Amino acid sequence: MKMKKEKYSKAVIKYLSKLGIFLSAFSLSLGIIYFFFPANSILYDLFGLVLIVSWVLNAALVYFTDIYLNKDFHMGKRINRLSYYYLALFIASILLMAFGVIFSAFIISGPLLILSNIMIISGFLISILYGFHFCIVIFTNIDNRGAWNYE
Amino acid sequence: MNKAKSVKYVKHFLRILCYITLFVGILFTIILLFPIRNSLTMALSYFISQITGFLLFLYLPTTLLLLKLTHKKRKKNWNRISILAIGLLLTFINGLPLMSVPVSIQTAEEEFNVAYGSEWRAQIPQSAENYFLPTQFNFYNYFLGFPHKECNVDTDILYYDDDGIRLYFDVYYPKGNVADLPGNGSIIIKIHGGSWQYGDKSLGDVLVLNKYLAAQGYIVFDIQYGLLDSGGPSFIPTPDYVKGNFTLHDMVYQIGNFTKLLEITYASIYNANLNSVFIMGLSAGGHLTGVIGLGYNDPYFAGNFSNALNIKGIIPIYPPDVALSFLLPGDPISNPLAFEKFTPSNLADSNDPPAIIFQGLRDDLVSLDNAIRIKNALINNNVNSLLLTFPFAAHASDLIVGNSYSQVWVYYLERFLYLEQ
Repeated sequence: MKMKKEKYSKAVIKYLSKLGIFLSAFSLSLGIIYFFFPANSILYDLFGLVLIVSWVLNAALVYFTDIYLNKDFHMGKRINRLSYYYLALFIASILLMAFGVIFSAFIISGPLLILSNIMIISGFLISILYGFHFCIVIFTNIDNRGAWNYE
Repeated sequence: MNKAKSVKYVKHFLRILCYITLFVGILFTIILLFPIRNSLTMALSYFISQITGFLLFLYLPTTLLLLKLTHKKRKKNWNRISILAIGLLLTFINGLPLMSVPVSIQTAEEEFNVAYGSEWRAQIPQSAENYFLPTQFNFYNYFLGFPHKECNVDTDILYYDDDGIRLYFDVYYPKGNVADLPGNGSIIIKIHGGSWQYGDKSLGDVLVLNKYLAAQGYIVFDIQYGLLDSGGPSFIPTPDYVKGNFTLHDMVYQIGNFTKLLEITYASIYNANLNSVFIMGLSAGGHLTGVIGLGYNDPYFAGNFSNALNIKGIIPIYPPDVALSFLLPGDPISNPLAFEKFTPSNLADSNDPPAIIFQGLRDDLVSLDNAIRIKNALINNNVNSLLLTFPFAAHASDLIVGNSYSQVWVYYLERFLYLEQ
């Protein structure tokens, strides 16, 4: 029973992190293309959806890792610290994007419009790049027995 | 201070910050769901309903962060369970405006099917569709902002200098040849909102949409008009040089003056098509849009406007359908004709242009029945009138063009403009 639970929990985290890596990479690639070539395209509709799914998925990953991390072990501690950084940076990136979007709605042109675009782009990049990094760290340490406590 | 102690302080600080965020989240969510008659909460409601997508992605990580910062106990974990429940509830409720997008789309589709027939999309050629939004809603425009389209903008052109005020307009026009674009040089006169007392062109008049429409070949004139100087403070930026002791008569006279200058001067300067004119306005501007667009052919306003304009459509956005007593001399008993003629629905007749109306269903300032009255008045005269309603949308919910209401609105607005020009 215990073995079965361990296997199941490990599989969930592994699957989430693998999917997180893929979706973050996909969002990042399409996001960069979008910023350089903004257009009305169904492809970008898919990008927007993937972006949302990757954010939700990373949040789920933070939740599950927090349950199963062995925080007494140095790798567990490191991943735990990373999850704190991820959450803090994600909140900061959402705020950057929100204010960027609000400012850009009320600015006709000039340096302030450029600044609002920089806020949006940096918010997007922070959320995706750090999410990508977080998923990779989880995935590469999934078999590190000391880092996890599945009981 | 040793490292362990400083980590403890940082965690304590973060915990307080998370609790504050969730507390503010609860307040914002109450404002999103329930009408509260207070100027601050009403002002907040304008913005909250437009950014709930961001807010839900703020509450979700805050909840997770707070859970991580809250110690697990061996038995009772009510504290953690409460945090999780509140956080998830806030996340879910703030997701409702996004989830209601299909409802708005369904309403709009039904309105278009009634007005133009179920095959209405076939009336729009692919060459025009290429310039339009391909879908009613997408997440990238929501989270990464609606892109500013390239167009020419001339700002602060003086058109009225009398009665102790100066009135200016901005004009947005395409960079390319208008004949190649779906707008084909049609004119859009935009009238800003602000309770007839506040507000301004540009900043308060959805300039991203002005640029978007200009890039499609429309010539957008974003105009000022004289505002009633009530002396009261407002959070809406308002220039002093447009304020005076003005009534609705004066406002319509000043805008009428603009239409005459449009005919004589500005149409030729900007290569604008007087034979295809749309009037668009928000809130108080929506009311004036109704009065001007439906009163254009009414004998009461004879001589007020240029006769050279062919008004093809009106776009009242959350429009009040009422003549308020502080804006007219006398009252409805002593001055009944004025009160009648400054109520848009009273002006509807069979020669009026069609209308497309934007209305938020959580608008506490201008309720749905105003838009319904205008719609029904036109329908009763066999004039097309499309009412697009948006669940959870408060007053002024179209200001951020990428939001869940505005994207749907722009999708149908650009098609309405094309079909009616």
